[in-house]
Amino acid sequence: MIELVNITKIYGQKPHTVKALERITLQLKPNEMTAIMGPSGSGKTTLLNIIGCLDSPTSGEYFLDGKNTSRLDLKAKAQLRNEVFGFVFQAFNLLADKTVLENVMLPFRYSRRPRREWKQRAMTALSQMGIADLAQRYPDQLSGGQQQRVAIARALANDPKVILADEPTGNLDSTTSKEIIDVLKALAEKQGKVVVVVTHDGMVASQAHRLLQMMDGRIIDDSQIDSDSVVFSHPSV
Amino acid sequence: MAVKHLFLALLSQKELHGYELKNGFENLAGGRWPLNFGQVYQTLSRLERDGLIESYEVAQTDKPDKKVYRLTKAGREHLSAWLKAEDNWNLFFDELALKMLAFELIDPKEALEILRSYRSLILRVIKSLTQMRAQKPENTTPALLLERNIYRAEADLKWVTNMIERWQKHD
Repeated sequence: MIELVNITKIYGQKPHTVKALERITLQLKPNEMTAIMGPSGSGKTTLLNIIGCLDSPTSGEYFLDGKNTSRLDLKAKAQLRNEVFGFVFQAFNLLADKTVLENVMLPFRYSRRPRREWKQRAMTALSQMGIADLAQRYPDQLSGGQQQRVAIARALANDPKVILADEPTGNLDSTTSKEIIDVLKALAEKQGKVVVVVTHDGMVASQAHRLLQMMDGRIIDDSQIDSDSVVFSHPSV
Repeated sequence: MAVKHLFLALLSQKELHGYELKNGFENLAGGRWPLNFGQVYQTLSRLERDGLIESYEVAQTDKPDKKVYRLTKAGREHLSAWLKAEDNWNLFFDELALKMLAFELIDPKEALEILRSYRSLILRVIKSLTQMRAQKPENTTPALLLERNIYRAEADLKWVTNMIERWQKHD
């Protein structure tokens, strides 16, 4: 579904250039939640932005459902971004002066969906997140976990195939983090979405199906996290 | 060793018989450290021999007499000393610590393999612990025990990831 081939990203002008990504080759599949870990500046967010068509690679090819996106113009890219991807951020990025429902309906303004469908679609997304009863509230009346659920509902509103989350649990306590990550994981497992989560948190990464480890713009490790049970021991005394 | 002190702690609350001590201990450990009756009664008889607990028989109508244990003054002092003592830090606390000692002596590729498989174990450990943690009520002893283990495993994940990066460069 998503295929990156030899993607390199260089920022700045010579001779002051920074190589943010170096020859990244990667495939991402539906039904799979992939976590990306790595120190700050290792290229995690750049990679996520390129996957989400928020940024363009300096070189390399990016195929989405077999179509080469590297050749698309800006307008086509923007449309693709709105239809294919849902974004979730650490700071939730909700508009404070809009209700929960209005926040979730925002992406429709940039879509071709008829206005009469907006409310129902938004309510469906809120129900999926278990927060339909909060539709008329404002973001500052909600807990962090509830705000992130609203943000995920907004990301889901256009029924994207791919959910991209940048540190989605960075502002949440560990119990709420687990809940949010379970929600994202269910989107992969039950709805067949491609889910990619950038995180610093080992707990969050451990819940993914696959973990990419980045370092200096490269993927240094790519492994499946299997669910074999672990044997926990205790002293024999 | 450890079981004995937890028995003293349980008895500091009230008098208990052997079966209640076994259950009490297992509940504190979140069901992750089962004891057999042999261990329980051996531990109790040693504690009694050392004067840290004492027992008396309670007559029961249709069953044999029940032995009830209680903490002595010496037992209370022993418990308090154990709780206050500064613990040792074991530098070689698991098998990996010992395998690491061999890293300079084996093929670096093999060392890298060991680190990679340890990393995959740690990820599964964090995953399992997190799921176990989610099933325990907040702020109970078993939940707190799991939380500590999650923090340690996360630190270990950072460490092993760092080791793998270094070992790859060195390769």
